[in-house]
Amino acid sequence: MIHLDFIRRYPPSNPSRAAANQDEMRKLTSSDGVKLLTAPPASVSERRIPMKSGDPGCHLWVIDQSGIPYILEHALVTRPLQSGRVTHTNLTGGAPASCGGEIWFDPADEVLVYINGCSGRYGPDNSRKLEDAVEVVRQLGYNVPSFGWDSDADKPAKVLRR
Amino acid sequence: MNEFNPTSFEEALVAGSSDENLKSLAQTSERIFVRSLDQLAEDNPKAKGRRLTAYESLTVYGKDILREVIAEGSALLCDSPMAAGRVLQERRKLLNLSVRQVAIRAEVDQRIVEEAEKSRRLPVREYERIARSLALDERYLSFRAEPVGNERLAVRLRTIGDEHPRMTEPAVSAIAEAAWVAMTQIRLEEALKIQPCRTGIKPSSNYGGPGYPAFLHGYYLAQNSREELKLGTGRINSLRQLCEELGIPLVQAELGENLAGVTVQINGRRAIVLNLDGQNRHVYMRRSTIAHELGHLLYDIAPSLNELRVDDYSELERPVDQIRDPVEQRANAFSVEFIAPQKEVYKFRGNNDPVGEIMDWFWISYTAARYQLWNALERSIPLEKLVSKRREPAQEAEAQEAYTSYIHPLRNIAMSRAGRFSAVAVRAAEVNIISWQTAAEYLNCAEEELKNAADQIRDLFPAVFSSQ
Repeated sequence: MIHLDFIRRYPPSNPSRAAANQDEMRKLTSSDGVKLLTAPPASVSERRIPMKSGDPGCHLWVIDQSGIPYILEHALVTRPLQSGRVTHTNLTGGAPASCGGEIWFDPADEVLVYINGCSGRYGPDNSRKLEDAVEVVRQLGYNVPSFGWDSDADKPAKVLRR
Repeated sequence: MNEFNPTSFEEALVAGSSDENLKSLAQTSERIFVRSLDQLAEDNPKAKGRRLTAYESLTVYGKDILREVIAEGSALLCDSPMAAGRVLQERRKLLNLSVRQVAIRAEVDQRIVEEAEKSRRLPVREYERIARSLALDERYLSFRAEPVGNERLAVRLRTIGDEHPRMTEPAVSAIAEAAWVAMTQIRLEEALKIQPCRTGIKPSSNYGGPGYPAFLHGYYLAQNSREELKLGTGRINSLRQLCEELGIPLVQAELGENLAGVTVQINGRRAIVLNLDGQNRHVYMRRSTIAHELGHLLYDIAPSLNELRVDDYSELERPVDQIRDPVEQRANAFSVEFIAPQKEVYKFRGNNDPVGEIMDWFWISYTAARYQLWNALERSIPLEKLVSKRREPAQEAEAQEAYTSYIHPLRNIAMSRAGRFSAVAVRAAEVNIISWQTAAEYLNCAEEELKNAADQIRDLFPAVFSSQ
């Protein structure tokens, strides 16, 4: 599945939750460190292997009409954010998106990325949607271990487990 | 799915109300959360994990986690991804149990235990079952990197085998599971504010000395207990019920043919694990065991009554003056005198079948009745003359002492959970301290089955519900 197929199957929708503060709706730009995910190698300043959601090196991603914008969660943005870290709505400015989650870039292997669907605003609501989103990234040329789906919580998994 | 109610627990949570206020609002909240091994989330009909009430979630995971769930839909619980498996494996090894034994006790496949010890992705309910079988508080698994629940007891369980060579692996495992039952019962009773009956009984460091053997002090303590507990001099109809009134959890277990009973200490409280195998199949022997353990629990001072104390049948039926250990001698004397005071036993001396009649009247074992009468008569006649053909217990004794596993409305309930524990779990579910799903899991039944049986359980244990 490629980006356009994904958007067609899962039309972008508004964030599922209200913003905690006005700053969460501020759309960050390339000058803040937002990039679009394209074929590897990705341009990133921090590469880590994660164990769980929010681990160091965590980048946020969404799939929207523009592609797959992503940014380091603790990026030093031009104007500091009220909550001290980037949220998914900072990638969209609060506009609709099809999916969202977290991504880490492997330090040793440029085509290896780790992905989950952990986003309170745009997270997938079923495992199929997460798998399809992962497939979009695979189609760009990456190897993608996915955190997978946590059936007990019926949410994207927050821990990378076998 | 529950709707946000701005006047409710959620609003108080976001507004940062005091902990006490939050707790009380949580108990009235109908909101349900769902937990996996790694996260706590909003309830969702498709989620297969452990459903928790607002109270359970708040008291275990705290308000910051709950705020995040409300704001983001879910929150990470996992402290360290490998913690759950490591805690389970370390505890199993500490108890010197095989994977196979844990699997049997937890009623899961052996492969599940192996996978869990590697912290693999498994249903949280499988992890919980394994944790319970190891006397761990399953609610903290993965949330805390260190084990929660009876670490000292576990250490003691490992070393007890050296002192009691007959302590088998299944017995250790049964005691561990029983300790979990007692620990959970105590926790729920505290949350329900069920207060044990207060007595003026205080531990006694008097284990006898030259000219005053420990057993004499055991007799004295038994008489003192009857007075303090206002039991008069007649038969004590239910020692089981007495334990319950004193706030001492009494957990039934199958500990093999040699051990009579065990006392365990849990968070400063004590509980009795009563063997249903071996001689305790006879209700009179079971009464002796309970009374013996009560003697320990009510009067032994801390150094004599550590995390775990195990009593063999061989000790329990031995005449008090033949027991070397003064602690055991005193407890044995306490037991026999508590069940059948010598003063009262003496009154049977001229009867046709005094030993049999003492057995029938006090519901005491044959051996104990003989010795008690012999002592009451100051051993003025040969013991061999004090015999009776009577052995069968009074039917009523079974009805009074037997925990309700035979008549319990829940068909598949485990023996260890068929006692007061089952009633405490139901009441805790009724007032949102735990979810009905949690209560049903504790009692090995479906939620609907438990709800349907709740009234019958209430009838079996009215005291648990009387303080509503």
